[in-house]
Amino acid sequence: MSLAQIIDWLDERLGIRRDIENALRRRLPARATGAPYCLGGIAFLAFLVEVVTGIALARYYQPNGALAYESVRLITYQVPLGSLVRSLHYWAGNVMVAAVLLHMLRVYLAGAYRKPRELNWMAGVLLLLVTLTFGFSGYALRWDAASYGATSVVVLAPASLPLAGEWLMRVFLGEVVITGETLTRLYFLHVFLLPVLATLLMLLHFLMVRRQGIYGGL
Amino acid sequence: MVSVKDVPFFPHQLVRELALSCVVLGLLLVLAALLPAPLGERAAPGEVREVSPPWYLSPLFGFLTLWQVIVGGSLSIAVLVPVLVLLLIFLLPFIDRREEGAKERRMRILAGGAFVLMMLFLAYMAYSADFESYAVLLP
Repeated sequence: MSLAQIIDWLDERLGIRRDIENALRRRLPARATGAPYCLGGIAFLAFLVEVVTGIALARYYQPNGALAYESVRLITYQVPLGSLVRSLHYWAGNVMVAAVLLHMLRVYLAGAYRKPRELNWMAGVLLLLVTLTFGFSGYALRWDAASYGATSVVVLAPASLPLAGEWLMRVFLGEVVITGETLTRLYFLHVFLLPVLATLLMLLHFLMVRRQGIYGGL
Repeated sequence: MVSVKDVPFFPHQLVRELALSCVVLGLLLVLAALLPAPLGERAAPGEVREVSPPWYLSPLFGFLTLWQVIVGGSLSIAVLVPVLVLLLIFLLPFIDRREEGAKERRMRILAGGAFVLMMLFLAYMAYSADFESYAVLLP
């Protein structure tokens, strides 16, 4: 069966031929293909690397205060290619945060956040928040002395807020002292809630770019 | 016909993007192979021995330590300030509604530059802070 036949088969049922052709024929403004315009794409690529390496890491990681650190040691020193996969996850995460921040700076300097792109700017700021929370929760999962200290500050500082602070903290993270329970909840954020949010927001973000075109373009 | 002003997505831009993706993936592999992800001593729950934030949170940590020095005490305001800044950034398109022009562009470069410098300064504060600066925050 040739590729053309497969496409025919799909087109007969879904009528996608025209959409694919339009997508491929689409033209982009030449000035929007330079280096500063790659940053959002690099962030997305890094996210894909995070998904793949994250799934691999999740096969060995134990989201439990008593076992977390040992499981990271196991991944690092015993699992075949474990150290490489973990280091890729670490570096792609850092690259993702850096690319998101620079992308945001590029969009700001271009003034591309203004009408009619307000909603996409806001989706972008939410994606920044999601990215930072990804980074922070991932850092906490390592559960070594350095990450434990930083996690304590980030988690305890909002608990100092009047009225709702302590309550919020108990609901989302567990006790007012950072325990293994906190770790389990940060793990839930890191591998479930944030991936779902990120995927939905990225979809919105890309659809809006598609709909509105690149600022200053054609 | 291909004009100078625009390029077709296929194959021109797609090939470029695939090539760039290969370069980025290659760089990530090199980084991961040469500089493995760090792993320190095991955490002892309830006992904080060191505080070292990831680089992207260091301005936030720098602000917290600075707040301890200048104001001391009320931590909740130190938490609310970054939240407010983030809210302003979120609502930026509704705050800055002026027409585009050369003057507006200059203003943006100035404001953006000042913001980046401020973040770098706060990050520096976080790295130069000693452990005691965080003691107030911890149980």
